[in-house]
Amino acid sequence: MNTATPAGNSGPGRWFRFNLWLHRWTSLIATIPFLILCLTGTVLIFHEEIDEALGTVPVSQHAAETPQRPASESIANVLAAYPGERVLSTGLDPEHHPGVMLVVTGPRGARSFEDAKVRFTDLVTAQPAGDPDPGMTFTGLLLELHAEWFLGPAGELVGALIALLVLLSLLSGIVVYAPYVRRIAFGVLRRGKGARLLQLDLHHFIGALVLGWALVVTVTGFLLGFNSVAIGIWQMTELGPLRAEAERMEPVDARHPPVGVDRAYAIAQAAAPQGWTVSTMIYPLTEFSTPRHYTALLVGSEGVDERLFRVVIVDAKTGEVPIVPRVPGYIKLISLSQPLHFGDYGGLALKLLWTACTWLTLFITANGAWLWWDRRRKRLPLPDGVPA
Amino acid sequence: MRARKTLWRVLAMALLSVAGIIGMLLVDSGWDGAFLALAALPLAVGGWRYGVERH
Repeated sequence: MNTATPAGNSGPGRWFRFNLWLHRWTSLIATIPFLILCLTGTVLIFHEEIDEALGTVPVSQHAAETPQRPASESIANVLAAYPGERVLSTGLDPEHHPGVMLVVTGPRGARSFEDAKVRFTDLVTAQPAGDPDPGMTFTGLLLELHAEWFLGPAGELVGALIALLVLLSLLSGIVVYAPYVRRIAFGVLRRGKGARLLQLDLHHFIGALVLGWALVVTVTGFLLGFNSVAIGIWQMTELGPLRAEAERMEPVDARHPPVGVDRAYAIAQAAAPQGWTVSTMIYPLTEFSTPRHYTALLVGSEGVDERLFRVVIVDAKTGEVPIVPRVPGYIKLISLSQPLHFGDYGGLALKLLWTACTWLTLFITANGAWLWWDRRRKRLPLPDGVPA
Repeated sequence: MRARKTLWRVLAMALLSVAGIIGMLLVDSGWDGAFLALAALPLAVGGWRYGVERH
């Protein structure tokens, strides 16, 4: 929200004035939601540590090398505990949830994950280990606010719109900054010349420092806003033909598929490329599978593959693998956007860098709004009787 | 001339920071320290410049 004018005899050009206008109004419109995003984002950088400290995620009390019970026993115990429900998917995440299995359930006839519940079972005993509602935990609520504005998938598009406004603000800010550095050297803060000049210099100085980080977080935030849209396109284009074919085949009992979940895991793992492990098994008859097939999601074991996933389809009646659908580039791009947005892929040092950049961005957002308000206040005529 | 150089330096710093952030994700752990240093470069330069300015 720079209000400086460029140096030069001919005054500000049209291109500069357009960018100043764009910078001012995109920033002002995005100010309040962006402040909320910065505050919630700061907390979410440390979501793993907070969840662990609050004990919201169940962990196994057994040693890692203790023999584990088959996954089907966990499923049977969950279904016995919740007889009105069906299993939508199971998941293993040794890094974040060691020793436990995530069992996602829904009402008996559910296909959608919208009203899903997450149940945890201990892999050693196969007994239920807790069922915290991820949407009701501290970080879960903040994530829903940060990513969806409590509006569901439609809220993601609101997030994308805010990211677009911030991106326009950043790009126009570069144009607005260019003439400023002709007069004021990089890093010079004009102290003792009034609050306005000091805040203006701080706005430019800090803005230049966080520019690269802000571009990454904004572009990835924009891409993440299209997460649900991208998955919907993938469902139609990649899963659609298989689903149409499956509709003509004999369906399976989605609650108790003939090929059990343990065998499905083994079949998918056998079909997996080297270095890839089955992390999630989506049961038949859901929005991400067909009435006949499991959909297995695989994650890589190292490097960038840890952030990507692959898909293997397993026939729940015959155990065959009819297709290994390709994961399109736009899904990969969105998958990679998540760590780049939240900064949770490089240990504590990167998290501290993310926090510092978030707070500095928070500062220039607020001080930019103040600069606009201060100039506007000085331009307004004083009421009658008030000395100037 | 000096102003143009300053602007290019600021943009180069931003691009190096972007390269560091993305490099940390894409390249295996041996280079993590170097990429983190690149990612933090603008803040380090800013901290140094702020210190010089104060004194």
